[in-house]
Amino acid sequence: MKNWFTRRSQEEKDPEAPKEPPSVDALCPENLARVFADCEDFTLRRIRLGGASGSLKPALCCLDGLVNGEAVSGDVLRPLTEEKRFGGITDPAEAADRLCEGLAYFYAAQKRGSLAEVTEDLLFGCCAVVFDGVAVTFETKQPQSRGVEKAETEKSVKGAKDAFTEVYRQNTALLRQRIRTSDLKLSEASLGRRTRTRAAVVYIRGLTNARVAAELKQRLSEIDIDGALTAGSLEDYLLKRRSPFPQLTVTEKPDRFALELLEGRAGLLVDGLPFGFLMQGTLAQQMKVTEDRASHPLAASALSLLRWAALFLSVLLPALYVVVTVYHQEMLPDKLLLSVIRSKQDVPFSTAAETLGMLLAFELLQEAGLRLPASVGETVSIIGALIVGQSAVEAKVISPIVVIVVAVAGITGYTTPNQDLAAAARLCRFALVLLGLVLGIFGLVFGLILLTYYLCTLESFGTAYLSPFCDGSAGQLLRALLRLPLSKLKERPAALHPEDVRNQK
Amino acid sequence: MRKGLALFLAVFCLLGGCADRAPFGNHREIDQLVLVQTLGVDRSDGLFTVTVSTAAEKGQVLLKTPAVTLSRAMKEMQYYTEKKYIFYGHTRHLLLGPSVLRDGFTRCLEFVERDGELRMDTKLYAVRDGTAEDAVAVPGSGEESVGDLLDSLEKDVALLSESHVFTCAETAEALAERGSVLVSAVRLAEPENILDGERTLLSAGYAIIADGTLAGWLDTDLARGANLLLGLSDSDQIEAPDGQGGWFSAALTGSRASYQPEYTEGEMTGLRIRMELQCTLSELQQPLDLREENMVRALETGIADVEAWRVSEVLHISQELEADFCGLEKMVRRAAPMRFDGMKTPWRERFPTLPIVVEISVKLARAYEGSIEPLPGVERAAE
Repeated sequence: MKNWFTRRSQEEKDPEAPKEPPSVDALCPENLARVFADCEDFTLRRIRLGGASGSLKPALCCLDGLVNGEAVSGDVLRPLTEEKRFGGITDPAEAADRLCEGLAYFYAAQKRGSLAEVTEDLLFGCCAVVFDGVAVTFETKQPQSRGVEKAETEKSVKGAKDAFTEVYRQNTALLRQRIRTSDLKLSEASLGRRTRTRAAVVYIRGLTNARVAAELKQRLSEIDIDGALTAGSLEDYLLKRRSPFPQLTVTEKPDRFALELLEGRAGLLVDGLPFGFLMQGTLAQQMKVTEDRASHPLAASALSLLRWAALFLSVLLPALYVVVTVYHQEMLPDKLLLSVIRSKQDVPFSTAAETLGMLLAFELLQEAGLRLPASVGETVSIIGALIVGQSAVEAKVISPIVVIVVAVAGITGYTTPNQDLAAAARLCRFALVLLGLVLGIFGLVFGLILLTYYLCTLESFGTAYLSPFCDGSAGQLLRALLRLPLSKLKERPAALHPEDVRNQK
Repeated sequence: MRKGLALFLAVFCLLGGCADRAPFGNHREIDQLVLVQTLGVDRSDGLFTVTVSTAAEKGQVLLKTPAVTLSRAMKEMQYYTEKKYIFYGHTRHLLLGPSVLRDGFTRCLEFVERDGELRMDTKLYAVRDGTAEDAVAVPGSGEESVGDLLDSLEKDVALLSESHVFTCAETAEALAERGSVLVSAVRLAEPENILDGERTLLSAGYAIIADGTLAGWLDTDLARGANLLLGLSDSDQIEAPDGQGGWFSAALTGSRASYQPEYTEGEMTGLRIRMELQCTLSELQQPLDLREENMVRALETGIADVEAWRVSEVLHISQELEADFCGLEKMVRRAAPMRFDGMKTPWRERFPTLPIVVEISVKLARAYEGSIEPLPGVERAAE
């Protein structure tokens, strides 16, 4: 790139340029240079169209690093300077038309008439041939990708391995490879006043509920923020009332994204985010794993039930332990109670302090493991969990049963497929422990009633978060809990209100 | 909405027994609990003596307190332990000495019913020939506790149908229903029966409680008859004469009883109890030719005679004590409810003099040919 383009400062003036300064909004190389003043990666190069005999001197502009230098040099710059192609052309509009008609080799060219359009194209990685009053932009983007890699958070044994990347266009391509129909629509929009992040509402025409797609587009258009660089900032604005329980499903797997689109959901892909959002997120959906479809219905159903049981255990176990050991000892069988008593002998802390302390310690260990590099994280986990934990038990600082309870709750929490849901479950775990400590079994029951009530109030783009548990038929309930044979699942989930209900004959 | 939630929370706080005095005020630290597993109650000189066996790492720890009331005795027990709280919520067994069975049985049951910690599913035992304190102390300093012994005994007595252990709830219900009840009885093993020197408890049949007091005992043999009437006899080993001068043994595998009351002019004039027993032949003292049907019939008759005697004896004692502890009233009423309710003389008055006929039929299974040929060294019975 740098061999071909020479950065010019604003002071470098073309001797043949008009002496009167152009208006501020007019499309011309000078104004473009003004727009990108103090942007060291902005490159402007004056060229003579049609070689030495040419009379037009447009500027070739681009942002260094965003464009593919080879494509700019070979497919754009080279044809521009060939005399036989552009010799004799004196009108910028005619030159622009000829460029669009194919005198430059590049496949994607857009004729632009305003400074704003050209600026935006440059920001999205295009190079522009700018005349006075007209410009042609070419999509000569430099792929800024680490390449399609394996999914990290959603492991797959029998399913596809690829994952979304940070490159928006690559993600749409991954999707198109799976759903080869023109009904797959990508409705694009720019997010962020300053970041101008490209985002697309993805849906299948004639299948996805049009109201949901329209609602999503509407909400996207209403987002007026500086930048949309993180998933969280989008979720905050897309949802009317954001809850710790995820109302948007996030997936990094294109196959899952495609499957959910085929179920009747709408999706959202955002440039720079290596995952896609799926609307109408429900609790049942977040407990599903794409891998289930690859397994036998019986095996997958058993695993599905196990995941549900693990979720409940993860939320309830520490609170149940506290409630039973502090208030309702009669609920434990004799031998278990004796075992708990023996394990608690000589431990100086109360059950409440022990349990809360261990839960906190567990969270700290987990946080430390996540934030540190993998190798150090593993060391921290080993030191924290094994050495400190074992030493604490041996020194009678904490009782082994509390360690077991907290560890079981933690491990069962890891089986939750959705990490946001797992985080919400951890919050509930703390809340229920506190309620159980204060009010015993009544507190625990009260907490569960509150939690159920709260979950009933949640919705995602018009679908109840607890659907189909709150509004579904027995069949839909079974479908949510088990993995039924696919030949029996002839209809898409009713809660999504798809326009095409049946998915097979 | 918020007001509703606040009200809901307030109601929970006020009604929640855990926040009795203040939130977190009613809690008990688990390591400060002393778990009572077995409770023994005796009575002498107007005082209740409560003996408890508490769970320990090995064996048991015994505590004993005499007091005017059971509540006081149990509270005073707190003085004798270093820990903060003696917890009765896990009491599995309640042993009542003969003194309490005679005077205070109903009071004990009512106490269990009212107490916040003791459970109605606690197993109830009557101690025969000794005190509850002796029975609780039986394991001494060994590694077992009396609770372990009683758990084991409960399973053992079911094998031979020597008794049946009822819970406090079942006993209280039966007492309220028919005024008399059977309580599983235990006794200390005789020294000559103890092989390894460790003391233990054995079944002693049933204690008969009538009108809230001890009315008598049924030994283990008669307890089998009572179990047949109560429908609790699903397993037993019956020894009977084989009709050839020897004995045989059969295992009881099932039983069914039907009650046929006879009414004349609004009065019950008799009761026929028909029982069908299913047995399997398990042991012969001498080889018998069981291909002959008569031989099998003779064995069946032998069993029927033994069981008929047991049942008749139990009914005789029941009528003599005027205590329907086997719950015949319920069974008889079920056979013809309208006639029963229209009886001129109430059941309780009619029962002691009611003529009762017991008919037992036995079906002996597994009486096949394997025993025709005597094993070497065994002589066939004289033909």
